[in-house]
Amino acid sequence: MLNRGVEPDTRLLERMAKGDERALEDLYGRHAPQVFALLLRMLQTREEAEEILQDTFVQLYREAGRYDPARGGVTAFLFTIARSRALSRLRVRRARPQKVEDQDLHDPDQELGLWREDDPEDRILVGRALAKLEPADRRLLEDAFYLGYSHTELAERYKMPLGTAKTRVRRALLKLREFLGGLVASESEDA
Amino acid sequence: MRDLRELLPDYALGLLEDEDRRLLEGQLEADPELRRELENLQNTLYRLPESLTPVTPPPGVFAKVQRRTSPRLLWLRVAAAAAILGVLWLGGFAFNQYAQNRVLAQEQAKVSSWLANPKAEWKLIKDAHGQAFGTMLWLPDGRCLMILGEAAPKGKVYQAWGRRAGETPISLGTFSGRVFETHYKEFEFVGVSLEPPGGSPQPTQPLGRVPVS
Repeated sequence: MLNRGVEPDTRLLERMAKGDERALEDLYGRHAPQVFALLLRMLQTREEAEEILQDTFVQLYREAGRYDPARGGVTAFLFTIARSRALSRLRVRRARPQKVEDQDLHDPDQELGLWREDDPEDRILVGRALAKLEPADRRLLEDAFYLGYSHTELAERYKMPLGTAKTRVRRALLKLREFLGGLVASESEDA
Repeated sequence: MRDLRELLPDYALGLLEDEDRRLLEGQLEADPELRRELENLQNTLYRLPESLTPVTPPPGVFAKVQRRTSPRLLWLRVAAAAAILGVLWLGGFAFNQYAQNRVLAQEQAKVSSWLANPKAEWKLIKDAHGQAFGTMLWLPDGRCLMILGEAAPKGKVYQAWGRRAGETPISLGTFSGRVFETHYKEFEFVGVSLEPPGGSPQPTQPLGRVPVS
């Protein structure tokens, strides 16, 4: 995310690693809404999403010193923590949301993501890149990412051969990278 | 030879089987280019949530984060509050002790000066059962001093009374300590009763009296 005129995320994280709680507050204000959206998408309950949101920022504060800017942006670091914790919760409760019957995996017209023209640049770009994926590939990628489904679970869920599920997930991620072009590299520099 | 780059998307998603995962992790340690490729894929993957519409969390969540990241600060606050309470309590206790000691010293000084006066006369103050619970000293100039064995019980006060024969008692004042100076000149009896704080128009719990005429 471009943060012109404001202190970069990496600087805030450096300050936080030294125990600066004001930096934590700034990072929370900047990223909590996006992390909360991710957790709501994964857990689908506000109560658990709030709980994991807390855990995520507490972990971020405690492990700020482990962050290596060469390996990616602060946003990715934060999402990694949040996703990992949410997946653990999903595994524990073993109550993953059931397949939504009115969504057809093979319907190319069905738009899964929500983005509007007045959305921030990053959301528009990622939304558009996702929209360019094969809908079935996209669904598999999102289920693997947000819900932590294994290849076997994806194959069962969508009634397809295991090899097909594996191929589609890989293809979706590689295509997404291609559609996002150089954005990934520039994001880590600007974050 | 197998191209391990094919495993990277599944590894980034956490979908790799144990055997392949170990194989790839071994190679990742030795191959910086492979590591960069993985990081690039991970960064792509973690852009997925950017497509979601942000949702502002409830206002209380960050306060909970702060409580967990600053337990030392919280303890300092608790300790500071406890210290302040402690100081207030000790201060109150010390002040209370000081006040009590000062009253006691004043009472002792007064009793000493009365006892040192050769004109002073005295009588025991007895209850209805003839049990002495105090002493009355008086001087020819009309002043008298009640010295009681104990201070008034909590929530009660002593009230001194003067009385002429056949008339209702007249209040001479209330006190909660053990020593009380008043006057007796126009009365035949001086007595004391136990009353609620502020005293009563007439004695409600008479303790005893002494003739002073």
